[in-house]
Amino acid sequence: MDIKIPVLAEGIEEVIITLWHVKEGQSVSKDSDVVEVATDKATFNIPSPADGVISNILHTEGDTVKVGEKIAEVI
Amino acid sequence: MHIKDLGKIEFDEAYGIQKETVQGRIDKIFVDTLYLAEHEPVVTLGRLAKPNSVLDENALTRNSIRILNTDRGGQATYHGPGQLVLYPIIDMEIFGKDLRRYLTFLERFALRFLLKYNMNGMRKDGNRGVWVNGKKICSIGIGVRRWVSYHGVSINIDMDLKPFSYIKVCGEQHAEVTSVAAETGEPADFRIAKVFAKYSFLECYEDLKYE
Repeated sequence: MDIKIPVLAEGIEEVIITLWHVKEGQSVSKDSDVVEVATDKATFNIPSPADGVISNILHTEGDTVKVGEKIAEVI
Repeated sequence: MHIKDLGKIEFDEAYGIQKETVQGRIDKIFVDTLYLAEHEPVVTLGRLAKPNSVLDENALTRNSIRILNTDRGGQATYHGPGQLVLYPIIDMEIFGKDLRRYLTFLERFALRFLLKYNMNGMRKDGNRGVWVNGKKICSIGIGVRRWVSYHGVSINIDMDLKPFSYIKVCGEQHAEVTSVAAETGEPADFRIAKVFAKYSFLECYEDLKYE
């Protein structure tokens, strides 16, 4: 299942990845924190959409990514 | 809403309390909670702080002001005695899960708080916080986990403003800062400020039901 940048607010179109809580190959449970992103004086922790293993991390900390963009997978 | 005054407390200890409360709010054990706090001198760096966010590290060391990295948004700020800090732990469902609506709510709270002192605060386009006569009086920086908020707002009540000059306040090179006492020209009682803050916050929070 894809992990994507969710809609965080009306008008916010991109965010900065500030911290990966997990590494590729790491087991995660649904709703556990996967990655922290920052925008407009806020940080937001994106949770895992499912139980599984993290794979295919597509961006590193400091990258700017668009809302809706896929950043990793949980398989 | 549950309101608790943490009194004078170290930043790290208040952070630990917030994180526990966030988990309790996610698990629906707790209702929305507002913590009031006052910190010992500390500079905190938000996630978007830059290497030059601290302008005078020697001055911080000389004055025993610690520097801490935090997981809130924004850049550098200073906390110290005489500054009121509010940490709302709120389920952001009531803001339609919209970060900007919540940040705007926090500014609205600060504006309403300042009105209690007959002070007109101002917002700035493209920059979060509240200013009085062009000087920053309120800083905002939040974190969100599972759509529950933590970190929050600081308002300068009656304090030594000098340490702000040792950092780039929220990334601004020469940001002028002020306090309630500096603007009114008389001492501002911290206990009264806390009462004003509680009422102002509750007023804004209750308003949400009628939006």
